[in-house]
Amino acid sequence: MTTATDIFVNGVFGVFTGIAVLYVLMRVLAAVLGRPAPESAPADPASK
Amino acid sequence: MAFLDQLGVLAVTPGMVVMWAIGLTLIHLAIHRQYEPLLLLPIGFGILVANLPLTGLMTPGEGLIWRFYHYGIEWEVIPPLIFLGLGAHTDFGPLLSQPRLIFLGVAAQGGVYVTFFAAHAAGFTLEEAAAIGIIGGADGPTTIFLASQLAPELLGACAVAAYSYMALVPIIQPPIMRLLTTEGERRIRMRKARKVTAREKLVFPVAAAMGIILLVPASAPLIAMFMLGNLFRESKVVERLTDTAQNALMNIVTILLGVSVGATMDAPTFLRADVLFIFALGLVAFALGTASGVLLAKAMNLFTSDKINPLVGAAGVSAVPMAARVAHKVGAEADRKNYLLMFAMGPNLAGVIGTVIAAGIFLTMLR
Repeated sequence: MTTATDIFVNGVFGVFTGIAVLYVLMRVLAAVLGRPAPESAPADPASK
Repeated sequence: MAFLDQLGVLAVTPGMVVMWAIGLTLIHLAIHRQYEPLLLLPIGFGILVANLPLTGLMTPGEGLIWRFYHYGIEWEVIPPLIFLGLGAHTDFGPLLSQPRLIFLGVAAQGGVYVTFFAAHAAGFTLEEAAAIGIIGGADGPTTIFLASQLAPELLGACAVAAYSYMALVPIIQPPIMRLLTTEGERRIRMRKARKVTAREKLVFPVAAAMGIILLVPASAPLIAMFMLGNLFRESKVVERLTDTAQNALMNIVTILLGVSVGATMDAPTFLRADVLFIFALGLVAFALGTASGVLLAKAMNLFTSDKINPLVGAAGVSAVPMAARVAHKVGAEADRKNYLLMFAMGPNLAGVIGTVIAAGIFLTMLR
């Protein structure tokens, strides 16, 4: 039978884990995608 | 005469008259005080018409508003659609630029769980206590989503309490924030946040939806729609869908939600001593959520040289963007040039996500 304590423990653990996962995700995104994409090299001037 | 037998005026009860007064009060607060008018106006009107006798508006299987309620709320359609619109309005940039602030959204859930315990100790069932506790998250659609699943008989009271306290954020939160912080702490200027790239914003809703739903599958209806709305926005290729989710669809479901919730509040259901108790517990939940966020921010400052202004912790309750604005305003009273709004938006969004996860866990364990 589920008790209030079970729900409390699972709730606190679950919310913290969910938020921690998002924290790690944001850190990974910042590391991988956080820098602006490098500018593409300027095209060679067209030959005359 | 059959006509006289059907005269509504002869079937009015004192309880109905009290409910009319409550409905008219909400309409007054919405129009003249601008308290959450988008919700309190239709809720107030829903209360009014649902407490007119012999209308059959809430008769199961027949009534017009019963259909809104049954197919919209009981079938879990409307709250997720509200989240779609919220997602389309949301800029995760402030959170992505300061990831550590997401933990302030956890702290605010402290009020949810303390109140859950208090409600259960006061004699409410676990399901009812969960519906009451979630008021502390200050997130109307999530409160309605959870209450409709676990304690439909408390739906009206919980929804009105949640929206009332969301409207009263500028009144309830500042005294708690001032009580728990010093003048010096309120003056703390936070380091300028880095600029978040468009690619981060684009990938985040997809990755976050997968991460959260894999952990708490019961949160899927709300989180999936929230992140889909955000993906519409950040993809920048479906402007029409973004616009519809932000405006037309959001407005339609808000009308249906407000009227349906109001109509659940008939006199026999609402005029009970325990409803007043729910309002009191909801206030406790909300105050504790605010205090937990401020205190966690102060605790985090013990371990970092890059200080957090504790006022932004109070924005960890979900009321978006009102709680963030209040954090900014209280901060500006101490230092007029301290611009806290964007920093407070991070915990504010984290609070939305945290409340949805908390609701998902309640559902997982109690449904």
